[in-house]
Amino acid sequence: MADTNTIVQSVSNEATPELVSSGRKKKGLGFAFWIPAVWIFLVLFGAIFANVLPLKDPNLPDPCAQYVVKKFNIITGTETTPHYPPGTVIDGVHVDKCTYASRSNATPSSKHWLGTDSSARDTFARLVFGARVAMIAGVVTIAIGLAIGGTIGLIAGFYRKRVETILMAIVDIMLAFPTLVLALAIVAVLGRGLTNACIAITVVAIPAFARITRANTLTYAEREFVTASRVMGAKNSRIMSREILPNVIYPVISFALVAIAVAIVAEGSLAFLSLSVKDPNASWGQMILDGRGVIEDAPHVALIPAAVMFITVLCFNLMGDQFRRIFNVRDAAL
Amino acid sequence: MSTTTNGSGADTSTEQGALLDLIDDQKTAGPLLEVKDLKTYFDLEAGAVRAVDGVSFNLDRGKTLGVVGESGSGKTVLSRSIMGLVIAANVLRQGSVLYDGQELVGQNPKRLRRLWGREMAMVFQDPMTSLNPVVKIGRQLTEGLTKNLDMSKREAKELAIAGLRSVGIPSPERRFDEYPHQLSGGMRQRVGIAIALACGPKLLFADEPTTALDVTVQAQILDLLQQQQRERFMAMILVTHDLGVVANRADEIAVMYAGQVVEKAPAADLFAAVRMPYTEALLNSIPRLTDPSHTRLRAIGGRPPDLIHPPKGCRFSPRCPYAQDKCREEMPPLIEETPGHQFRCWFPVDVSVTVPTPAERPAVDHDAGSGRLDEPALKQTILEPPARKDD
Repeated sequence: MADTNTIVQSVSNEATPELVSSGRKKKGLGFAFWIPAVWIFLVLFGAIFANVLPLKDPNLPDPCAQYVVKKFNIITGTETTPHYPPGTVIDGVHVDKCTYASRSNATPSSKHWLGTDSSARDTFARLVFGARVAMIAGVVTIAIGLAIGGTIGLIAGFYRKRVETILMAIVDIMLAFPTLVLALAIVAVLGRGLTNACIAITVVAIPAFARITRANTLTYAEREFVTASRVMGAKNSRIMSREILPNVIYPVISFALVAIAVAIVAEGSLAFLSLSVKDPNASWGQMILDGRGVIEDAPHVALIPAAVMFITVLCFNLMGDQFRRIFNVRDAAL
Repeated sequence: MSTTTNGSGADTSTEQGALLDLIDDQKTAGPLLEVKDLKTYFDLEAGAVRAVDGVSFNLDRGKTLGVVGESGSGKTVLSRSIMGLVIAANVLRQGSVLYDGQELVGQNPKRLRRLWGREMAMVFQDPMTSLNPVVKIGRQLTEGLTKNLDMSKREAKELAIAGLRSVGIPSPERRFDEYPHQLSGGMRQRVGIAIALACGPKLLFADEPTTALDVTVQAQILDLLQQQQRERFMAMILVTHDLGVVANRADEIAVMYAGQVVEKAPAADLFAAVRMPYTEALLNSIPRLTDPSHTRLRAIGGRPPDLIHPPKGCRFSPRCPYAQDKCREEMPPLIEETPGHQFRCWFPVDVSVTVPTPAERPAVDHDAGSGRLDEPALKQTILEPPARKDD
């Protein structure tokens, strides 16, 4: 009897509405959403406040670096002959206090949290400033690409006929170019620099957004609520902006999050080919390029920025997936 | 109104004033809507689809016209064609639609847009699709008010909430900020009606407003439409495939088949003396409560005709149990034997006209003698149908 009672009780407990509802809440926004969200927040925070944060100068080598070479055995790291007596100050640097952690290609230490690069610059500071470049290359280019491509797609999908033919022909031509080659060509013509790299990425992003927006617009433009709005006297521009756009924006945004990841990689690729930011400014791709030369002796110099880029790209992809999932759930509930 | 100092404001107000004067002048003169020989063809590669093929009728202010027919008979295209909603490159629209004396056929879209919402509005079939799923109900309601009637947002909101209340939505203030998916189907249709009525139209098209709804809600929605119509002295075109829906709600009923009006009469006259075999078949297809269970539905055999190549003679002839050679050869004109009652048939269903004996009417499954429905018999079939002989 007692057994059955407990079973009944546990069953009834399980069926309480609170449990069911809390289970649903977890399903809505789980770890898969919040972990990437936190990471992206940190990257964005770093990108925005890079100037203000108490960081070492990302573009200057550690002032001790030039003395470290003389002070230490570069292989073993043990202090060799003390060239400099205690209290020696050269150009404002306390040479006697310089440690082995200030060398180039240094491993992570309390002085340089993520070590230094081949020019003895602080990797962490460079990563944070590199985040700024990555966010500009990712978010800004995609935002502009979304605005231009989205408008093209919306107009093409709404008006159909000749407008669509012409716009989509242009978009198809743009799509036909191999992405990186087109970007390379644009940078080659306009010259090296972050702005030109961003222009290249934007140009490459436009056709993708035009296509995806058009495809979504097509499904909504024929819906009854568009007719309903027209019957109430709405103009075409109004129908596009207030009836169709709010429906189309969700799938397009979830695609945009994935596109940001692609754009970050694209900027990294251009930087790796020395076609993005100019020296000594930091970019993740350029940092990987910097570490490439010492990949065998000091792999962390290339791997740390690569890992940061990998995690950031992954997080944007995960966010995009989550966004799409939430969007789909909402769609199914209708 | 005349004290407006703003230039553009004065322009629009005088324009509106002129429009209103025009309407006032004609308030008592003539019907609100005159449709003459309206044709709407869709030009496809396979040929022209004659969705609406020469429809004429008049609709007086405050009256209801019920348009009845199977799916594909052109009733939805008719209502949209009257409004001028089906404008596309491949649509051929001929004839004449006079709204308050204004010709709508061939009118430019800008002028038409001024009429939409303010003068004529539409309630759609499926409130799931006719409301924008990602836009709050409130905004969908106030859109027309702020744009068409130049109201401020606050005025529009007040009016919209009053509108929601008048269509029977409880706690409209809360519903105002909700999304369509938070409402039930019946509630959504009420919102659809509130949106259509927001700008005070004089003519309402209700395109199968209850087809997508639960049977228990249908009567409520129809009653609501009727009540609103009466309060606002609004004319209504009620499109449906259900004769039962229009039976006691329409002043006049037009039965459509293959793009044509095949029978049109004041509601009472139509049910009192059905002349067109198609109307009769429609009536017979309504299941009766007194039928024993598992009674076969008296469906109309065959399918609606191909509207690209309609039958040469009467369009119903291939499915008509009484069809004769003449029916297959010659298209019958609209005949008006008694005033107001028009029908399109060479051999109308009537006691006074010789019709084939029951033996010559194949494929009709109904009670003996009901092929020629005399008045009392028909009334009985609708209101109190006789028990069906099962053999």
